[in-house]
Amino acid sequence: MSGNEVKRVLYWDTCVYLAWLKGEDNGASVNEGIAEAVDENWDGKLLIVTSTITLTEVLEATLTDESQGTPLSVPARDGVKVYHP
Amino acid sequence: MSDLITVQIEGTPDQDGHVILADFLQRIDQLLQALNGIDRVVGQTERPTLNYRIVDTKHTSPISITLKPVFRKNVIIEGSDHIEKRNKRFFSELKSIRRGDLPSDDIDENLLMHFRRLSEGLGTDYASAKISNGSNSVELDRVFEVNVQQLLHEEDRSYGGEEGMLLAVNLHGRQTFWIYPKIGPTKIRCDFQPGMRDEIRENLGRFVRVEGLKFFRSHTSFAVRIAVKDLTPIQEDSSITLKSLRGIAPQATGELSAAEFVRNLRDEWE
Repeated sequence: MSGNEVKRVLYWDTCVYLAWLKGEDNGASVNEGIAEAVDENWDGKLLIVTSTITLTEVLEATLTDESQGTPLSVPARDGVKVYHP
Repeated sequence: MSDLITVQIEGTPDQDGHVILADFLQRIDQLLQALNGIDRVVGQTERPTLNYRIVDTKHTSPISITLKPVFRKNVIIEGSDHIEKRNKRFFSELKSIRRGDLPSDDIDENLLMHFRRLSEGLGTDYASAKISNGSNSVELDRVFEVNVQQLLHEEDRSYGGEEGMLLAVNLHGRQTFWIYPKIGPTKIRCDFQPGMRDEIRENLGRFVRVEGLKFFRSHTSFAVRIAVKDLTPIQEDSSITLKSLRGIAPQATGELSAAEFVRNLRDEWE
């Protein structure tokens, strides 16, 4: 998934990450929208981008050992790009 | 339109109008690199598909050399206009630069460098130079040189990083490798310090984060070059995926919804 093979780019703000990590129910259309983005991302069709601010805000939440730091560790494999302004 | 490409170079008066051999060879080499670059851009291929046969030379001041594009062995020929497409594109880019227009988006810095080297030395190495193909003729004059220099001019610089696949490296001459980001520019040139060779070799083909001084041009939104200070491979942990993180921390925001939690955090900043 290099050299601009990704067809679509989507920005995820902190609340989307947190909703995903929590498994939060935000109504069928929102839940499905997020899940669909994750699926497309997994298939390499969608690149999810976010910012350093998202990382710091996610880390403000109460995360388990497993989930702690994961937004930093998934970029390469999972097609998540973090922008460091 | 003729496929033949003719280069004419007139030497300076202090050389009695003759051209110094080393300079001539260097200029022809840059021309070849530029032609090969265009060939790769047009065909989206790693290797150029064409070679150039010298079909005519004259030394009646200006010295003139005429090249005929021919297919390399074992290349896939796109169609009857394979050569014509490349020839047209080469001259259209040259003419754009000469007019002061922006070249096409896929003309990268490397290719622009070849155009610049092709034209530099006016007044010292040569008195005039021209490239033509029968229907097109482009003077490699001061206007061309200034325009291509402006295109290469790096307006801004800032410290930062970029991520991409480390896929190409040049360990000879200028020490350079290229990363291929997922979004933004197709590739970014990274100039590195001599001590980094082993690190670069080890990470060839891997996804890396490169940090250093980023250089930007006025008409591009992305860095065109990075003077590398640090290179870090991005670990690929196959056990963690975005998919697998769903619901991993149900109490992450306590009683608050994710949106309320973020709203509160941001309110604290104000």
